[in-house]
Amino acid sequence: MGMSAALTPTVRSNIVKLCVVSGKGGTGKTTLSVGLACALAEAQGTAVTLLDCDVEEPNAHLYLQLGTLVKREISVLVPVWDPKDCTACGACKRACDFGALALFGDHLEIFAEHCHSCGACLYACPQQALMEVPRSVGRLQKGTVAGVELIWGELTVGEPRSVPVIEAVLEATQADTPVIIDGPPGTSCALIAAADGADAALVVTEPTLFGLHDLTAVLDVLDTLEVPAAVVINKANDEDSGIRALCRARGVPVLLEIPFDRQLAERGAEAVPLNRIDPAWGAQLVRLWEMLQSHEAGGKTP
Amino acid sequence: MKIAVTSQGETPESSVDERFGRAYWILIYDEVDDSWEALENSVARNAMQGAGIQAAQLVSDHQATVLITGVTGPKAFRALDAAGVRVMHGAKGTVQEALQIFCAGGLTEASADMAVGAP
Repeated sequence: MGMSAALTPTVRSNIVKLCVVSGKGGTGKTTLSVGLACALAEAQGTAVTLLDCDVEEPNAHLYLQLGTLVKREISVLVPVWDPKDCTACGACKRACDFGALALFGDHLEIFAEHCHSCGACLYACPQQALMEVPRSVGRLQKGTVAGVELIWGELTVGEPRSVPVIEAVLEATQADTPVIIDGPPGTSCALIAAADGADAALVVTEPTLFGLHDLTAVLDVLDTLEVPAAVVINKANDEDSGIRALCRARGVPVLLEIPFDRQLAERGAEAVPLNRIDPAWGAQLVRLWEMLQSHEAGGKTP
Repeated sequence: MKIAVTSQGETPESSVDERFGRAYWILIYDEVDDSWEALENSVARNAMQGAGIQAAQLVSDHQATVLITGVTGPKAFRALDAAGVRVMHGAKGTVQEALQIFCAGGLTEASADMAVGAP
């Protein structure tokens, strides 16, 4: 986009691609991602790319008054069957690890929503009775405002697999800017797709037992992916629930605490990015980014 | 005609398993010689996804043309329909009792819009 080309990044970064994750849903990934992207763009004149990879429920766009949107379909390749060349040998069905093919007598039934687009059925078929066609599973949208280019994916309702949509969002930017990924909740395939290959992960947690449990799980996944982690405690109050002790024990720095505060919640519900609720928060978020650059984010490093 | 019934155990005295895809056993009754065959539904039961499709494959592979169960989901129904298997919902009690109720016309034949999965 024009904005990316016109602005030269002024932040010298080792960490270019930051993935914001949480394990537990509702801890404040989007609050932090949007606030951080806007704060960097505003305070430093830096073009920033924000990728909303929570494709089952993308919501970063609700915070941004985006200009013209560019949209496109996201498709995956799935097999279709040509009965005239088929000998009903069953090789395709046996090759499928995902139960997407069933053979009843000489009738092949394809359950495309279970297909992982691996192509094994086509490879296995001795008759070339299968071919691949695109199947739409979601859509991608892009828009820009004030130096922030937002790209988000939206999984079609009823589709079980979010990974192809997340991958399409990640591939949709070649921007030479800081990239902030608003990741999906949980610790399953969707999180792995979004966080794998990031320079660092920022884990947003809350001081509850649920927060602690899911923080532990997500740190385990990030260790496996060899993505260094740092923690932000949101909705911080007098409780701790063992969050700080866990971070100390695992050598993961806690870089920011956002208090449990009525005004922050109300302004957040009005879709005001965190950095605009109070300029002090904008400064805190820029500082957070700088700390990520200088601080060795913790966890098992490669 | 062969009739498949989802079951919690391997004999016709067992209780019906009201689930289809995740049923423990599928018992196949053969009218020709009044015999029962017990199939362990372990492949489908342990599948990460698509249990109903796998279970439908098992039913079809054993030439059953009627299935008696509690309820099926949409993909299982699509698979059974493609396999030419008639689907009977609402089975309760033991497998033997469910078969008798079916033979007396006491079970509803499901259509695609009734295949909505677990109640």
